[in-house]
Amino acid sequence: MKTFLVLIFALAPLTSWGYANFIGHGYPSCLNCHFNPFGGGQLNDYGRVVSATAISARTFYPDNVSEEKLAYLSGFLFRKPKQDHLRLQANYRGFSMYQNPGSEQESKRWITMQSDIRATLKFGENDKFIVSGEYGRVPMPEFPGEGLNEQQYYSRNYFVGHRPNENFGIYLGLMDKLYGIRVIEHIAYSRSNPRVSQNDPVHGISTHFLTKGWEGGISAFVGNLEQEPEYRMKGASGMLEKTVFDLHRIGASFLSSKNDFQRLTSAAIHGRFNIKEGSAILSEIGQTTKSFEDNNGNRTSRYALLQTSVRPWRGLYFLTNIEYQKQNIHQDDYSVRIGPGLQYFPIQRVELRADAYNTRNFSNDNTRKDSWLLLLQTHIWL
Amino acid sequence: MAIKFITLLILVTSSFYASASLNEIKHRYNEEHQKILNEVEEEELDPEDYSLELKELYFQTYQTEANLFLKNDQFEQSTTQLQSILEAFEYKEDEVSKISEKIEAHQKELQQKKFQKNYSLEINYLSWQREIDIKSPTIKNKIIVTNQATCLGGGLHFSNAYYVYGVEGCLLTGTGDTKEKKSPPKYKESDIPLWGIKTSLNAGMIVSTAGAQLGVKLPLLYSIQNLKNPPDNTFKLKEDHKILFFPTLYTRLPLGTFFIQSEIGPFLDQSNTLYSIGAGFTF
Repeated sequence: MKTFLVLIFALAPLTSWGYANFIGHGYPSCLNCHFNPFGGGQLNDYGRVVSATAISARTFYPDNVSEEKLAYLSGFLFRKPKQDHLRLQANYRGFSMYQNPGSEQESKRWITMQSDIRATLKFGENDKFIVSGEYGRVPMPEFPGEGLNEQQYYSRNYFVGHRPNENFGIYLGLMDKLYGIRVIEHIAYSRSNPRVSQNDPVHGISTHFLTKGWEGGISAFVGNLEQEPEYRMKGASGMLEKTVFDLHRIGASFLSSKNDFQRLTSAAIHGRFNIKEGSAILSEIGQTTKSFEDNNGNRTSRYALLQTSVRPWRGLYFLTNIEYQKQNIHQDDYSVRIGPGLQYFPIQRVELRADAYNTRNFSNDNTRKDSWLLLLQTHIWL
Repeated sequence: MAIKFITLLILVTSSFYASASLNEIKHRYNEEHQKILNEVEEEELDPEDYSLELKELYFQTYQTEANLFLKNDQFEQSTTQLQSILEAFEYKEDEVSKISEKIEAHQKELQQKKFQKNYSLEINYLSWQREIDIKSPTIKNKIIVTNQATCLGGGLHFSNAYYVYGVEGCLLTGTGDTKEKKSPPKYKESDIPLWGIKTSLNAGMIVSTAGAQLGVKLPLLYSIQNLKNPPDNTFKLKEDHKILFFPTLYTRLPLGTFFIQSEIGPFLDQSNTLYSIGAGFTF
């Protein structure tokens, strides 16, 4: 039961980060589709059009509905914006979670994890100045998190940004830390180990640069100011990617942070590979060291992620997540989690997803049956 | 002039109802045909030197051969020759261009449908669990053995642009662990060596021009793993050798001639899952 609760805690906040696997559509940079250049958060106009005309299926549209018409309908409330300065988006995401389906330990529940509105104000040529944020109901049951007061509504992302030219931007506000690949699966070991998951945003300042062959950024942060001061993780992080063979990206990232109880340092290398027509490979290998004030529980963990994304038809993606985690590199035990998943965008603004996760623990001292999780997810945005 | 036009009109109209052929051209215009071939090759052809009637005959022949190819997939070498002649004549350029595009598209489609053979060499990490009976005269329990192995082998595949079928095999060597601490007997073995063979049939779709594959495999896994009986002699283990069958889903993603692949299945039983991750190259 305790394990079950921990799993719920860990799984509940699946969120709306960007889809790093869309490098398979030829979009290596998150800036193409998001106001936040590092991905996640609100889609920009181009991102909405891509979502409607390249990502979503068109099975349910009559043949006489052109791609141009689909693009036109991709705006907020199904129309092209009539002004240039305000963009809105509303999101709902919920899922059914089944643990060990078909076994004696089977259990299931429904969790609403996201219901929010997002708004971005933009001004100047090429959107030189932006103010962006989101606000919504807290996803239960993981709130209140560490050092946070109980609340009904919250914002996990808001920032102001200035982009003096297309190569450089600076952003200030509450944002995710720059680190590794922002895969949508926030339960991934590559997100939980370095504490860069959806409930780990921090107030800080980030820079972003983009050239033909390179993209990256550095951020300095003072923790989440809504947390009690002693829990705020203060520090810095950075990420750098290089385009290789015009299609793929390889990169590296680092993170160092601490609060009154612990210090965390992490480093990773990663690769994103475009296998064309929507198919892609994502990989990341990293190591995280956590040391505590009382030196109790200090450890260095190692993790790896390999995600393959294959698109058999427009709108449908077959994903395989393969993850490795060694919680303490000085011990022999490790876990492998592998999960096939289907991601389906039947029409624009609707995402349906089914994921199965098999977790197997390898240990000389303990052998037990695999644990299985089945997640059925619905995501709707306007 | 009027008579010439009417004659041509009759000829052109009647040619719609007759199946024009290169033989007909050779029969009626052999000398001109040979001359045209030479001039096309030398790029010296002057369209004004030849009659409209002959040009129309070439066009009809080209159209006939194109239709036959599109219908029966039988491509005549003369079709290419006719295309060159018509292009040199600059006769009905738009129509000739459309027919040529259709021929080219059909040739490409036929090429994409053609199955080709290739081989692969690959190395895979795989892991699976198996349940083994542990029995005494009065008690019967199951213990879980978690295995992992490295499998080295290759495959033979037949693929076109849309589908792939193949057979694969590899030799595996690895270890397993088991520990039963709740039910009697308390039993533990670590790093139990195993070796075996894995063969599989696979069928998949090719979903990108780079050759990404998604499909199913039907693997048979035969492994030998000698577990020791518990020391008290009351309990015995059953089935150290076993052939296991794991229908799996697989993906293979190429990076040039190299690829990475994964498979997992069969999603039916909590303790009977096989997965593998591997890399290799095709040749």
